[in-house]
Amino acid sequence: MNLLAALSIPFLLSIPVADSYAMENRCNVNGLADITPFADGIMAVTWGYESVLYFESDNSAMYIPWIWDESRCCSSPSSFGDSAAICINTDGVDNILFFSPDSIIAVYGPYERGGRPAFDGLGNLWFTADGYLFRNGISTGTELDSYTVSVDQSGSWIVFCDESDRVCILNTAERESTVLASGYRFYNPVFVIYDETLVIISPTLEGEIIAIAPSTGVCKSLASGSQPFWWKEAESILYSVTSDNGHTITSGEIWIVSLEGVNRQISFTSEIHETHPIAVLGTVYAIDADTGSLVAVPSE
Amino acid sequence: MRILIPLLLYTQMASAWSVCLDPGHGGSDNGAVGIYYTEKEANLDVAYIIRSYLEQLPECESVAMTRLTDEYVSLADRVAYANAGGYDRFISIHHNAFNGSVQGTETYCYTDGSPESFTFRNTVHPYIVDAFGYYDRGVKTAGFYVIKYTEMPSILCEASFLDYTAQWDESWRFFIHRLDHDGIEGWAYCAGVCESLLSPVTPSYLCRIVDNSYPLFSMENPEHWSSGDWGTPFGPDYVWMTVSGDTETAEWKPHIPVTGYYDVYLWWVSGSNRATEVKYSVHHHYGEEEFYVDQSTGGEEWYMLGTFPFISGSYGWVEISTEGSVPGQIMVADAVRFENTTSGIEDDASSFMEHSMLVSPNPAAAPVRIELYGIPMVPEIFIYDIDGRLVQRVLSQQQPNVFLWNPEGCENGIYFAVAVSDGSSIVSERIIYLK
Repeated sequence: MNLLAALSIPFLLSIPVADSYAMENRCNVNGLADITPFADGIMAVTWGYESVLYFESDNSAMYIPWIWDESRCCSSPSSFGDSAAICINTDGVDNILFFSPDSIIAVYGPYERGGRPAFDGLGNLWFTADGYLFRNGISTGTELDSYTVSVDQSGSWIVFCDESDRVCILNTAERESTVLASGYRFYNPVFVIYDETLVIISPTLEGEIIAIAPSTGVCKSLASGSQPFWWKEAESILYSVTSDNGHTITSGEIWIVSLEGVNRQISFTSEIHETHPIAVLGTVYAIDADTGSLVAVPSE
Repeated sequence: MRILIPLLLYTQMASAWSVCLDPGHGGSDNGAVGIYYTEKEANLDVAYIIRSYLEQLPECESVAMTRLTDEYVSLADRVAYANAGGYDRFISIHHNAFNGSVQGTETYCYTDGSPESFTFRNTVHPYIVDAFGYYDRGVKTAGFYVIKYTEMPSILCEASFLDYTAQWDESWRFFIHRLDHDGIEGWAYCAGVCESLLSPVTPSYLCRIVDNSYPLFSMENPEHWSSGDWGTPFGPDYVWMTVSGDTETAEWKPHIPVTGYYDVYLWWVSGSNRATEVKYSVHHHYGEEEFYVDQSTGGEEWYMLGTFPFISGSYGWVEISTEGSVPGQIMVADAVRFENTTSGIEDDASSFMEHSMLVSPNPAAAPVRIELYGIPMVPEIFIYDIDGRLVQRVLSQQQPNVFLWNPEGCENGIYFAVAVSDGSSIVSERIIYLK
């Protein structure tokens, strides 16, 4: 038992399967900071990253799958089918929660510093913690400091950004990483499969959405925008185009771009500032940056 | 039905931490606009200084910035970048503007933010207020995008109003003394971050400047002084008065960030009509020391008066007085700079006095007073030159552990005063001797 484990104290995590708060607010709740497809619905993190909500796709019900006292989310959630994971922080230490819509599957940790979880194509859960790469809660022995990682379908490759905002790629078997792409200030690169080919999609602080070839590192700018989301069924990228005054977002619309670079605007509502697009069961959803409310974006 | 799952938690804080700095605006978005300086410039300059301070700290794992140059970065990208990095704290750096007549400091967190965000805001804000000494507009909440959508405890601070021109031009203050003014603000952020993350505040560069245009400068009889801007004053101007038979005083009273030794520098604008023996008094932790400065020569640059101990807070000051000056001459009061010279700072007066040797003045051109604190009484101290040769033994004066070394006959250079007890060196101090 290490020192930290010796200092740990028991804590009870409670999981209400149904919740009156959730029933009252339904899907018209405001104040959402982030949304992710989850099972047949949408998982949302609230402003301030204090709690996680769940909406079923028909918007007829919403419930909080689990809550905990004195804890807060310290990462956006990731999902794979009806499994999801999130990093939470309690009293300064992190735990990775692996859960389904109605139950917790596993709790990994505690760690001094946990990262944002990610799934590979087989449903294995990957994350970084305390400077190492973990797979299904077990350290791989590979040192990796990046908070955010993305894993390819087979779990053979990890893509992440280093401190210089370069895209790096790690072979999980050989435990060797190399710098793949630079020249932009990349963040949050993700693997996607397009036409049975592995591609990396990354936003940049320059406001570009870049496609990167994993084998060569060749970059191709697809669009000017933010918050790219890979819409697997449409084999396209949803993204937001926003303008702001330095304090608040003054306009936001959702666009879609193919990997060939063909762009199309799909939201046209000046009174709603759509951001954070995702797609669930063929419908595009976004967050209104003003109110934090979930909005459905007409596909045409 | 409620399912209970035991979960192990640590009670100990993480030893290392990281910070994301967000210099507001940029590129086509100037933000607030002062006559000499724009907000986007101030925000970026301050961010770089904060980063330089934080990177000195062993606990600081990394410091990221949402923009590194004068470029536009969308709010959406700033937030997404910070969230992807998983930083422990997020600081959005801003400066304010209104109608030119409002000045003050305000710090925001998100209205429904985490308790950590509120604590972070409440911890950093007093440091920023103390840094400039401007009006405290308070801690506030708002729904600004970057503090609402970030995962980690986040704040947005408007340190000062850049368009303020009522009593001084705030943008000029930034523009002409960029490193000093930005440095003060940058250190304040650094100190707030450190306190928030329970790290000792140990950046090596600590500086306070009090200009005549600052609120921390005061005149005994303001109506007897006039403003002038001939030559190169520090800040927008200086104040001056004709010496008469009456004694007139003014003082610079800084807010000292941490207890320690500070080099005190003076700034004036010289002229042929200036007073040749202007009395400056340094009121430090151990008392008062007087100096006479010839304002008819030099000036328009920092002139070092000596090194003095100050306790954190507003307990020390520098006073200027007409006492001893020739009537009819002009006395100028412009700026005083206090720059910390010690590392490993102890913000505690009792610790400060333990095992310390106080040398003043330093640099010295005349006899040097050397005082020992917190150690047993020693009968003598030893002065060595930079090559380690013993230069002189100095016997104690009438007071225990107080010595007076007269370097007359020595060459200009660096010397070391060493106090020895029971055959082992116990404390030493460097002395710069300039005839």
